[in-house]
Amino acid sequence: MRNKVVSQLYEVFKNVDRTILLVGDLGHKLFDKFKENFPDRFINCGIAQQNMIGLASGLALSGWKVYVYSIATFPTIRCLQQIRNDVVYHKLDVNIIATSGLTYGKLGFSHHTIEDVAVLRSIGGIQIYSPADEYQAIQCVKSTVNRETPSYTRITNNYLQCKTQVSYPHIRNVRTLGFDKVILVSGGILSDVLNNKIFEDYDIYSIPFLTSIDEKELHRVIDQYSEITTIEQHNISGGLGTLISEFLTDNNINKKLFKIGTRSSFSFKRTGSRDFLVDKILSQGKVL
Amino acid sequence: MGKTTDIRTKILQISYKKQCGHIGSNLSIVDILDVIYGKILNPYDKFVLSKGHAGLALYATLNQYGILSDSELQTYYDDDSLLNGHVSHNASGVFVSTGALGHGASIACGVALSSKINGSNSKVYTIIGDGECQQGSIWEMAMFAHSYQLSNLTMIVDNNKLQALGNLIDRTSLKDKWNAFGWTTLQVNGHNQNQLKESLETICSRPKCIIAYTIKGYGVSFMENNNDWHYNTLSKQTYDMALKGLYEK
Repeated sequence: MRNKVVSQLYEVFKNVDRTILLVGDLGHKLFDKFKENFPDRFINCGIAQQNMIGLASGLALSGWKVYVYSIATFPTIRCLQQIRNDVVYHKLDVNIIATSGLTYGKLGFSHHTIEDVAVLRSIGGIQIYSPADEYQAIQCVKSTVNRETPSYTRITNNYLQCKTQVSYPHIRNVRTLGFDKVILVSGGILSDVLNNKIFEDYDIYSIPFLTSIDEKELHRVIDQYSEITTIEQHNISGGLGTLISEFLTDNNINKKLFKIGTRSSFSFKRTGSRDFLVDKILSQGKVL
Repeated sequence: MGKTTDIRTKILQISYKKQCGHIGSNLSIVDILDVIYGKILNPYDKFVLSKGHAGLALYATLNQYGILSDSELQTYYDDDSLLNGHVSHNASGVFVSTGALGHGASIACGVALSSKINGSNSKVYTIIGDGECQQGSIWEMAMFAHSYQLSNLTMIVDNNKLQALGNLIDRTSLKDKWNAFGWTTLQVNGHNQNQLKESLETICSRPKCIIAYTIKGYGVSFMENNNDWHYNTLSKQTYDMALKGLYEK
């Protein structure tokens, strides 16, 4: 997914002169083409995320479409106030793309990003994208081209392999076999859900645009099922699960909701590979 | 009466009327602001007030130069006002909102980087506080600006040696620090407009830091170097005394 996102971004750079990419000393060999062909528009800001988001804001105020790439915990919660006060308050064209969730499983808690959606959702004024497959990821990058307001795209290293490009609704029907229970998923954990026997009796939908859900469509989907389960590589408070819970409450929909995700202390002690950690999350489904 | 006295008068009038604090911080930077707006800024240059709690000094200066109207200035600190206590880009002529310290300098650095990439001659000026230099992001910015040789970027440190709770906690030399970060560092009397102008006009090949030695509360004798005026609001009696002192100075 990461390579597809970077290739798509490269296409954007070829077509839009006023684009600039800031990285926080991350992305080994990933941006060689940018460095070679757009040396002025590729900036390594070093290991200094607060300054990086401030710089991004100054560049956007000067008319640039700014992209920022890093490991998700760094350009979000490390410099949250810069995102809030500088990027969002000034409504700037700053687009953060970052590897999130449990992508860096074995590296441990410091590199897991399981609260980014929650904090950014509560700030508001920033689009949050959580693609499940490469095609969705490309669409997320494309949607930043047409906007001039803040966005955050959280990508993951495991994702659903798409053989064909499907048409792109906001709520993507991934598997509908007429079950009376539905799983709503955000992000690359979708591929694990599809391959996990615990969830074989569920219809499945993917929700990549977390801040601009088509509520009518969500209503239509939810109406068909007696029970809803949300699954995400994120804390259950503040992410997709909370979002759906709010939707049900706000619309007086009385349905069972199960939220599957991490808790804040998820990887305080033991950690492991991304697959190990995701299995741990999905095993919560056994009690449903 | 000079322009700086006018600006200080406006700061005192509004501070009394709206019963707001940060008066000492506002009075500290009036001479710097007046030189920047009166003698330095070209149409394509940008100014960022990074120490956003001195927003009233900027609003009053913008008003003095006809950029922000009297009626707009009078809404400062009101309910439903666009003119926040900490400087807001919703006010006429204000480029960037600040208030949380250590933000504006990085934004200014981004603007300077943009000018450099564009091959533009425009310059960026920023006032930061000496207390603000305790923010790590200031030094992240300092390192970056030197790496990219942003000679179009000027930081003016309002070095009044006081922060909210008393004397500046950092006793090491600001000059040595900015020099060590590869900046050209100049030192001036922050209330001497000739020195300020000369230092602002000095052309450097590296980013420039002007350490402006200032007096918190400058212009009102009983406020000068009295840190209570970081927080205090004016009573009728202190307001009258302040205005009288200002005119007599």
